[in-house]
Amino acid sequence: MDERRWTNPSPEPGQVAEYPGLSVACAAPGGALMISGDLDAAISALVQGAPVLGCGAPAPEGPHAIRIARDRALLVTDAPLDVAPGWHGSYAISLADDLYTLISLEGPRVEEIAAACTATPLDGSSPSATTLFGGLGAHVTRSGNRLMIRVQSPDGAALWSLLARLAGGRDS
Amino acid sequence: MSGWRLPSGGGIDRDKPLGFTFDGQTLTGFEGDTLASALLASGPRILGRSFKYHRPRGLWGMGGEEPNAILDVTGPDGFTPNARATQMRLRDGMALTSVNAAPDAARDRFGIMDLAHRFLPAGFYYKTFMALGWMRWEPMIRRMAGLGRVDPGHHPAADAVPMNARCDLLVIGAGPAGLAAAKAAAAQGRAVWLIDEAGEVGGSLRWRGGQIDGGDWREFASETVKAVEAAGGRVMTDTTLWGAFDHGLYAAWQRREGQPDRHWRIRAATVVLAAGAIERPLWFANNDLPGVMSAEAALHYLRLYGAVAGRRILLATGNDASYPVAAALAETGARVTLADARADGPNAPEAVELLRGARLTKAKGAREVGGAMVEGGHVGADTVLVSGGYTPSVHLWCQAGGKLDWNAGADALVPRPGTCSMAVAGAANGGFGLQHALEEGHRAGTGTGRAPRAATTGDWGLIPMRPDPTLKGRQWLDPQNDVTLKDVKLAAQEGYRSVEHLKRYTTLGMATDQGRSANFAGLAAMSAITGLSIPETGTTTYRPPFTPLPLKTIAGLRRGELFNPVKRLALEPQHRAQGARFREYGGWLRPSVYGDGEESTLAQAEAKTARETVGLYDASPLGKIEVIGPGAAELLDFCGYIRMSTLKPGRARYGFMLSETGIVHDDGVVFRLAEDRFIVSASSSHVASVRMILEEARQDRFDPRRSYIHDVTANWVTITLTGPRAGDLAHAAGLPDRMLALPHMGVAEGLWNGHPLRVARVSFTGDLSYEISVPARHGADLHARLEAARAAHKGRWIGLEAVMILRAEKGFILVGKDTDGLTMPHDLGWGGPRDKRKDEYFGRRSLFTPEACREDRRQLVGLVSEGSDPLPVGAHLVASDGPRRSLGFVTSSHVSPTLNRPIALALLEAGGSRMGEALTAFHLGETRSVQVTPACAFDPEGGRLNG
Repeated sequence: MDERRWTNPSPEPGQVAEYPGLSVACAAPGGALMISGDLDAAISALVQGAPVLGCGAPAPEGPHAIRIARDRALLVTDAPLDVAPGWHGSYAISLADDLYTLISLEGPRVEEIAAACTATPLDGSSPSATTLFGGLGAHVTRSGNRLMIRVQSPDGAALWSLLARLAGGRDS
Repeated sequence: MSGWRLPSGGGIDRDKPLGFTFDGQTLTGFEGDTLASALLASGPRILGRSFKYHRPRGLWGMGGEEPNAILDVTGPDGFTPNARATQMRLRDGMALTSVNAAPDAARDRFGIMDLAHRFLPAGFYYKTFMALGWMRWEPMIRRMAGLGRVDPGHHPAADAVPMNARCDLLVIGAGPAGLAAAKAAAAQGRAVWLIDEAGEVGGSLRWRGGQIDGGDWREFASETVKAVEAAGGRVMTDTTLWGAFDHGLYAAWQRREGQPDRHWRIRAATVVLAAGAIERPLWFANNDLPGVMSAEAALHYLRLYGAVAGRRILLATGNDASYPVAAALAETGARVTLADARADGPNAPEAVELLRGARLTKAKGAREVGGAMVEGGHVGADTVLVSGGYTPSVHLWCQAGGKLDWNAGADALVPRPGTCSMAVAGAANGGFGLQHALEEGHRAGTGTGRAPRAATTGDWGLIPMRPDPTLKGRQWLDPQNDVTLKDVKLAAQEGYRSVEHLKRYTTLGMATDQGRSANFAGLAAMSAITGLSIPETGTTTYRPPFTPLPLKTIAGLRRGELFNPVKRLALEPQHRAQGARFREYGGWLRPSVYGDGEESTLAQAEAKTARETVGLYDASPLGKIEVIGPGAAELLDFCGYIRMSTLKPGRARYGFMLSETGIVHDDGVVFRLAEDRFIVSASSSHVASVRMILEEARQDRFDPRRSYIHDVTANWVTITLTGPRAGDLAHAAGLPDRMLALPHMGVAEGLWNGHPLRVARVSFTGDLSYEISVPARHGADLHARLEAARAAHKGRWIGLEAVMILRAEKGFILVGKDTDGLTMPHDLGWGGPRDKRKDEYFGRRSLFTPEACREDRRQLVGLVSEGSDPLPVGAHLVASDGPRRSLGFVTSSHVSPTLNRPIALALLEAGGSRMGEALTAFHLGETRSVQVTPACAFDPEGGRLNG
């Protein structure tokens, strides 16, 4: 039986693809923890003051928590934290440093490409940063002019290819 | 040929001629033409043949209601079958071919079918073609049926761009009502999206013209567009709003010159439907002849393309709207006779002969119009234009759930207020006339102050026009599906009186024009027969799409690698570097075998190596669902068939997750790393569903604050070493000895080279095995260390094909392959918890139904077969003697390099009590003898687990 030949590779950290009006970059992984439960207590204990972000909300430089559900968030840091996974009294932690691939979009066509990938308003108005982006589960925030999209790493190739098709095709 | 082109006028560019062919005949159109206008002006009249009787058919309309001018088109964009000539722009070099005709529309040899029309009424195929059996005739009928032919060599580009959008007000239709609504709303600062199917705004204003607020309608339109854009809205032409869906979602297909189409999904806070109305035909004998056209369409072609429908024109009508049409045609120099069915009406336009109280009863001609009968008198004509009234375009209203009411004044079914969230304005609401459209549009757009004003007011003086069953000759109601008035009578006679039955029995309204010109006549005719009113007769259901659109527009970019993308391994580059060949397993792209050569041969060699020394494989896709919290154990006890609360930290246990009906949903190992922390190692293809079952129970049955579920599968790279030398290889790679000393089903985690490491002694092969997991960023390092030590221990990377052999030798199941939708855990030999557990767990109650307790349930067994070839998977097991009834089937089958013979697993009725029994495996007419054995074919004592 002939199987489809999957040749589109997963993006590597630091890889950049340039298209007319759009720059797509794969960021180097920092650190991340999946936290659930009493998010305030978790954030206070792990990274005091880290803001909790909704869909398309602007992220600061430095640690921040990307809201997934009412009681779950992805705590993002510059480097992995030295924290034991497990139960911590009122919240749970799992190591998630490599769970996601972070792809950023920058340029005048960002909003147009985003509109092709999601129906969710990316203006921070949704408390959860989780949405479907290009048909893939993703967490979406912003950083300056860039749209930051986190998809689970096994889906990185699919998103990278989709963005290439959208950005590199004949369009205006 | 009677259509002709004016020397000037229309929106075409006569300095840019475009050459094209129709059925091999070379013709010329101009830039700006549609296929329909170009054919009308310069081409033959017979553009196709009807579906059943192969009667000659010509151009009728101007848009999606066109039933006849359906053509196969070969153009710069490739091949398009069944293109509607009214909706496709002419491009230079296009080749147009008629459909359903051989050799072509003009000379179709199947035209003789019409001679047999008495034997081919509606539903004839329900009563005929029974001798020799239907399937004797079906292939022939199927070959003759259908319109157009797909070119299998044509692969349309996957370039339609999907776009999502939100707007405050969506106005569907940019005719006078839509423009008024958009302008009113934009004036209040609302973001309006104004959408129209045509290439420019204006709707019927484009060919009827009109003065609005003292100026030409174009000024009004231009101001409206500017106002909409200034208020942050958008105007999209060449865009068909094709579907209204739940929760305010609308779908639109945008065509763009020289660029890929866009497919819009628009969420609109409010909607105004201003989609206009479609002119109805009249019904008389031979009303399907080429040369019979919609009067509105004739004006459309004249004004927009300078194409005149004929030279001797009879226009039959029952409303005032046809008078300007007659006047415009007379101005071209055509001889125009206007037959008004009403006794009173406006004055005759200049140079138009007016017949009052005159009804058209017949069109004359063999292959096209050659004259007509009006009130018993002959009228010479080469073209018959008709206007039987107007049917509001309520499709999208009904798609959105709106209901319809009968409006006698409009002689139409119109939207019933309050039954849908849309506002409706203009002709779509049964209000005909420019002033009415402007006022209603202004109101629908929540305009303040006075509405825009038209130069003329007043309605169109419509009278109801209906098919007359007393007329002699056939009257076509649905030209595209060859449905006549007599077919409606036949349907009623045979008891198919509901409008839904009428539709399906006669196929009225089921063609690609979706009955736009046919449905009203059909339900009016049925209403007359049954004595029910038109609203009592009702309509069929309006479903998307409003008009056919290419599937590629909806599919968008999802082709090839984007159609159903697979998940990718972090170590894929390393595997590729080692010559891995890849396949999709459970949604992941994973190595099947390594190296060149025949796949099964390589798999055999890999499995043999794994049994003799050590095999290495990438087990990263195995689920790693962390269940954390003081309530984790009780959650897992409820969600699992086998209790995990008794598992000690540092230990692992094999278990099942059942569905609510007791069926095995997944199997896998659960690790307990702490009192309040577990990892559920779900099958790679079931991770998402297992997580959802856990999450549902966590939120619904238990206090959600006591346990949390994290799917962190993708965070880890897991490499499994399996075989007698697995421990040696792991040691040589530098893995901590304390972890390698774990007992079977032990698990430990810690730090290694400064990063987390987890080692589990679990085995899917029956041999000594280590599952080694590190965070994905350290996966390459782990791979490199193992690779550096591999050769010295005669190890080999093995793919999933070899793993399948190894686990099958041990009788280890794959859920979904060795289980089916009926398999319960006790069918697999795991009846203990069912017998012993008294606490409640998911699926428990279903394990004790009479069905679940049957003695002859299909149970997992092994099979030994004669010969050297493996049994076919799916082969049925039957008794060696007696009736050939399927007792079960082969689920897994391989040649075992370890045992040097075929092995197989199967699900067999009462399998557990048939050990040693001889059966026959039956597959595609061939049989082989088999013997029933326990599922485990190799090392049943498990001595190889510890090396």
